[in-house]
Amino acid sequence: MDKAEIQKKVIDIIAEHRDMDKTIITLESSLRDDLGMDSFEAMEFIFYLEETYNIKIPDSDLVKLKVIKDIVDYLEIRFKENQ
Amino acid sequence: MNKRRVVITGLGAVSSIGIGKVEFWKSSIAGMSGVKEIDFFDVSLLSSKICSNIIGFDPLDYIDKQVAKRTDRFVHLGLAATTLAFDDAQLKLDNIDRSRVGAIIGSGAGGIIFHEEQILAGYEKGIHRLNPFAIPRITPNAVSGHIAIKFNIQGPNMVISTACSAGNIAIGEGFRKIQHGEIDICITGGVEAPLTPFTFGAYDAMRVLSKRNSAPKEASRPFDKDRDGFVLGEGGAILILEELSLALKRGARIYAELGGYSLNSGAYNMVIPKPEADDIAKVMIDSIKDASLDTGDIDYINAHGTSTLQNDKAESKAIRDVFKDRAKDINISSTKSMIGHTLGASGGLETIICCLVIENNIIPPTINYHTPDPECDLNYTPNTAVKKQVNNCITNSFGFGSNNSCLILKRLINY
Repeated sequence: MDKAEIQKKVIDIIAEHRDMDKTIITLESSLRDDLGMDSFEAMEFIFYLEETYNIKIPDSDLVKLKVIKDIVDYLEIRFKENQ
Repeated sequence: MNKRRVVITGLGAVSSIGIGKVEFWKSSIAGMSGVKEIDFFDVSLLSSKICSNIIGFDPLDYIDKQVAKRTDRFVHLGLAATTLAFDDAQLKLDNIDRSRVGAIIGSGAGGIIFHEEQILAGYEKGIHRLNPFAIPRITPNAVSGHIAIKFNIQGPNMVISTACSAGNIAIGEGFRKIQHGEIDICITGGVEAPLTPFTFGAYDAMRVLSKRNSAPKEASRPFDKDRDGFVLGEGGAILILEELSLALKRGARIYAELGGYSLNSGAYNMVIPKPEADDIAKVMIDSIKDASLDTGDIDYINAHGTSTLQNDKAESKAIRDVFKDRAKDINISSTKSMIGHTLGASGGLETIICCLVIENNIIPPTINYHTPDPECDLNYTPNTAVKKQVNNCITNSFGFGSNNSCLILKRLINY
């Protein structure tokens, strides 16, 4: 899965679960400041990512995921590791 | 100590026979049944195949999509009924000390729909794949919590879970808190959304549900000789209670005074009511005394009347023992004949009925009453509503675990 595909999917998941317009979500969007997620909602979003990609994201990695780009980069690395 | 007086100023009903007070009341006095065949999960192997579910309810008419997605149906019903009750009461909390407003709600099962889904997900995908919102969605007090968050209600907040009496007891506890001066306003009532494969199957296993599958609308027949169990239903019923002087000051419409409350336990059996019914008789007498009334003052009894053999027999005996010579004269009705048994919501819906009985002086019927049972030989207001002046009424609720509760509603006088 290439980066563009991951980015599209991540934005789709957020748009669906947050009931948001996709076009306002960018790589720089912060989960908290731009997308308005509280810590529990961010955890819910991570849960949907885990469900979608059938992975488990450890707590130690969660702190690194602040903006959409962090998530896309992180998932790309995880997929490469799995290959 | 002079107890403060408590009045009911807002009603919100979401039921199988109507959403909103007006539709709910019209159906109640028309003797309409909300019972239908179950077509939303497989009941082919069960004895009972009917329920009293709500059609045409869209939670998004009342709540935000994000909240709706993260909450179970019982919370949807609770938030919808609360919105309807606030609208009905025309109550704005803007200039009110919110720490003196409580939310006390009854619910037997809580978020059982999502509970079942998550247990299945845990077994199928593994328990490392559970939804982070599982616990806040399942917990019974999700309903009082979401009511507090949505309406910014900062006083006592709790859910009472006493099975089929939960709604009645929640209202009683809200009444006491206002009476004793702890709060001035209480958002109270009951909610239940138990129509899931597991819960329905479990009630079916107890053999307490009606098997009259060929005629769903005739299945709930409290006090009729041919009754064969209750019909499981869902509902949301919220009432606004206010301290009398505050309600008068803001010019609120007052349906009734909540005059008395009592609860006790038969300490007998988890499921079966005590055949002597002395516990039920006592709770009725105690609630009448609590309202400073005499048995001679009661004009209407909204019975627990589940349509099970044991309940209706025991309740009839208790009414005979309490009201003696008058027992056969008092109009009794079981509105469960129309709504089915909505467990924790039933006490709320039935208290709303009592408010509307006092307001309109019309008593809704017990429908499907055709064959008298010698052990249930009272005036159950059979099949057709009756016009009659009602000043004081009692509503009974009895729950699994031998728990019994009664509320007394009075026409407001002497104020």
